Amino acid sequence: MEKQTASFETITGNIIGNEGCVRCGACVGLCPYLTLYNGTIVFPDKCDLPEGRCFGFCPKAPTDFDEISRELWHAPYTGSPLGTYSDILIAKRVKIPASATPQYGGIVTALVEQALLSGPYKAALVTQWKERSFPGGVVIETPEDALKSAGSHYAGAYSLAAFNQYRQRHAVPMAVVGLPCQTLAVRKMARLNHPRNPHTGSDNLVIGLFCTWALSPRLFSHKLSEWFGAEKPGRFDIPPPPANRFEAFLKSGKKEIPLDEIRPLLNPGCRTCLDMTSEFADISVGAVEGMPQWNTVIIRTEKGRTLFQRLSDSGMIETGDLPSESLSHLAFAAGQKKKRALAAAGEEPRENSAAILSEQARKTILQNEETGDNPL
Amino acid sequence: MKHAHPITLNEPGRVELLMGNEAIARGALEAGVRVAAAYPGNPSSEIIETLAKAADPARLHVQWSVNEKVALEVAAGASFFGLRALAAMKQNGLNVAYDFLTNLNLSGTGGGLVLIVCDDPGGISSSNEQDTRYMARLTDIPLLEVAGFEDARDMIPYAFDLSEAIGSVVMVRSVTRISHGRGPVRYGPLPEISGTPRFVPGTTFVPFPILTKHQKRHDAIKRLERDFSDAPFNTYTGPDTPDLIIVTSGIGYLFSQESLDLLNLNGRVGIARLGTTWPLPEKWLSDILAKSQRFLVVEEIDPFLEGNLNEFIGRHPSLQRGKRVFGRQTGHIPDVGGLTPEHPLAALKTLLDIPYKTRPDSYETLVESESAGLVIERALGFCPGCPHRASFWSIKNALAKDGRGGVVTGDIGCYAMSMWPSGYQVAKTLQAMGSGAGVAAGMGVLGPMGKTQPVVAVCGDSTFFHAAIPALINARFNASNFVMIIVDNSATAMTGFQPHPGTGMTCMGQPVDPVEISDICHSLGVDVTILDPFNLEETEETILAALREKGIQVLIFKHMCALIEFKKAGRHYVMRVDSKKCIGEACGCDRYCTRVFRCPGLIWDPISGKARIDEAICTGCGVCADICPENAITREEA
Repeated sequence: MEKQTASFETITGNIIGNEGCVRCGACVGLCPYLTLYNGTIVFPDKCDLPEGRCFGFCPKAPTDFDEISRELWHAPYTGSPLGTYSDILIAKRVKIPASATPQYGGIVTALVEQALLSGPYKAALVTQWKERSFPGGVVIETPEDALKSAGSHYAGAYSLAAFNQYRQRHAVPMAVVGLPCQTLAVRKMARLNHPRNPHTGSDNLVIGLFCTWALSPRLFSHKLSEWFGAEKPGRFDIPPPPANRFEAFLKSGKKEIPLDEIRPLLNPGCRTCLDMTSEFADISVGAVEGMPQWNTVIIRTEKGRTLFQRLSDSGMIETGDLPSESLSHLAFAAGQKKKRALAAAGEEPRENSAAILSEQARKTILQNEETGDNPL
Repeated sequence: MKHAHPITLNEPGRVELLMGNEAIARGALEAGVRVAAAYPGNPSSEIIETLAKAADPARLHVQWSVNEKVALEVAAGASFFGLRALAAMKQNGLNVAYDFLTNLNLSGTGGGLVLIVCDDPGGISSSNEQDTRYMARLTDIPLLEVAGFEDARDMIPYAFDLSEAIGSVVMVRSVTRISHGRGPVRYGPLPEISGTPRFVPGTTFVPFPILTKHQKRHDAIKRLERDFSDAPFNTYTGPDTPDLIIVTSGIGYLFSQESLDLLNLNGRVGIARLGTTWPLPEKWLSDILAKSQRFLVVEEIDPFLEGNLNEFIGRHPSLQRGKRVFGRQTGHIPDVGGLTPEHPLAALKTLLDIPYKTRPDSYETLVESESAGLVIERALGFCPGCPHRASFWSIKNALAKDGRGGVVTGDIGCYAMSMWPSGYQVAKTLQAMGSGAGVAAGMGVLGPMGKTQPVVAVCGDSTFFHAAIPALINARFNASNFVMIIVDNSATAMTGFQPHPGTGMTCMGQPVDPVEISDICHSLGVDVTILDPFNLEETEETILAALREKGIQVLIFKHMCALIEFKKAGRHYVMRVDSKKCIGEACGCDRYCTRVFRCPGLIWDPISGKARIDEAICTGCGVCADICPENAITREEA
């Protein structure tokens, strides 16, 4: 790790101040200096500690990808489009409860339910929006609560703040649902050597989501009020190209927004993100091209495999093979995201180039085939 | 029976050790003053406070007025009824009163009317440094300068006589080192107070016809150029043909005398001390100028006397040959700031080329660092338990959460310290009394031009009465948009807890119905919320909500000044720091209470690495318990 100097200054100045923040929430909920208010981080006072947890946890602070990869798989980070995995398949929930609005096959919610049912996970971090002005992290302790969080929010929403807060009170193993940046942060949290780290040695399960980019919770929620008034959409979707639209599902029906109107709401920090499929998760879940009722599932670790096996055994889901064409499209898209991120990082100050990569990984990323369109 | 205050004793010949301001008050009593009015402001406040000890509704009315203009008007009202009256103020106060003064000079006065202005060289307890002597000249009124403590007593009766002789207000100027210094003063007799106030039928006090009245003032000044040559306060000491003459006034006189003694120059250098600085005494000064070729002017603050002296020489061809005037304009005395005895010493050393080792420039710094060890290290800031700290804590947090880069306009009072770390550097502007509201009123109309930053004006209770009300009315009239926070600590705390219209007690101890700030605001039709700033959460939420509103939102943060409350009621809570819970410098706190919140009642103990309460000064307000991130600070009902 690089030598840390004035953590707070780096977080608030270089990262948040330079629009490098991806709104994951890893730095929040630990101290009075970085707090959440109405969907944004506020910092009325200055902390002058050189080595804070905020800096240690931040996925946008320098991170050695090799170190994390070696810890999980005893192998370096290669830069391959989908990261390290043992299995990739499709799955869907057999019966989706009427009250829920899950994304695609409902597998994330099912995994959370299963994690809480079969343990050892005593709680789960999910993102909820309902009945609040801004989406945010919520820690749930029962499988029943999992359904309430179903549906994608397209926003990191600082949900790790709730994770930090919960872990300071309860040192229990947890299932964490997160975007790629949050997945990375959770791994950094577990390994940070800091006397007041509530996550030290924690045995969490990370359920990673696919993510092309995330939206700024504050800008997004302001826009939503502008578009839909008080009504909160249940979930959102971006159909594959050439649809070029963003879809919001409301009680009153589906509403379509041109992607051009969504682009300004992006977290600028997402531009330098290398990861589309939550490569450091135990299990990653996303959409399947052309199969809206199904999820793509990437099993990456033993923990992930065990949980998915239990879910399969429970009969709650059915599974299938990912069509090879879909796999190659997914890999292509993921590879393109990496390439764009490296290019974008090259344009930014060194402080924002979070990923410390081997020359080999860098080469692999740049050699990815360059064709095709990408929505954003 | 009420024990008589020493200032009221009619014991001629008695010698008391008096503060300069007390000596001025004694002089006023010996002059038979009947009405005295002022607005508190250092270094002038003790004049009225002292006179209040002798107040008696039938004989001497003493009041704290809402501002200096009103104070001078109140005094003039008494003068128009034939009574001797005075108004006292600091330099900034004269600016407020100046509009009235620049008409009063023409309209003339009845009973003797003396305006006492105490300047604050160096701005020790002020927002500016200003030499008000120019303002006397500008107004064509005579100016007397107090040069010592005995002098302060003597000069006031003289000023009253002079005022009556010329039918105009007379200005007496003191400075911090005299007003707040102390020296022995020998009492004169107190007069019998008699006479019923009466406005003489047929009299008018108006500035018309303007040119006639203006001419009259110039004529009076001309007369005084002659008469002042006999004034008892203009003195010369020294040889008949000195190498150099120090021309001085005010505290410069004492400092000059001291330097001559130190340098053993009494045989070579004379001191011409002027008590009547404007107009200059024609004959007396001509005689002085004839004695020598070189003159060093020692005065505070600006080269007023120096400039007038040069002008005087210019007007007298017979005096011109080879005369040189040294002082601030020639760089022999620093351009700005108050005097120390070192200043005439250094100037004399240069001008007379004498070997005297003056203090090196580093002396002041050295004294500061050497004496620092003798006092408890404490930044300029709010007292322990001060409600302003809680107010600015919430304002700071609310502005950060609001996130639009809100701007806070500050004002004059203890809460001016909000521009420093004690108030979290919240205030970004500071000018005159009530200016925070006026400036905010201007910022608050910029919305249609694209302004997105919200504006917050902060104003104290006494300041609100003093000068913020017209600004607020103006804002309401011109549809401005801002949040006006009135930090109401029920006192004019910065100048020494003087009562004001909202406190329900006059300077003379008479209970009156308090004037409610909220009533005034309500009557303007603006939204008013009153709350206790010690409820941090509610305060912050209220500010945040107000920031989102349009128009003018008045928030009154009402909590008594901690010093008054502590004197009245003692501690509300006994505060403790649970050293097991306190994490000190660790991540998650980083000395939040002592490094950021900064109440002096909380001390950082570097040995244990924990915070603790300074029981000696903690007022037990309880607020810090709400800011500790680890809930390590506890409060128990005292």
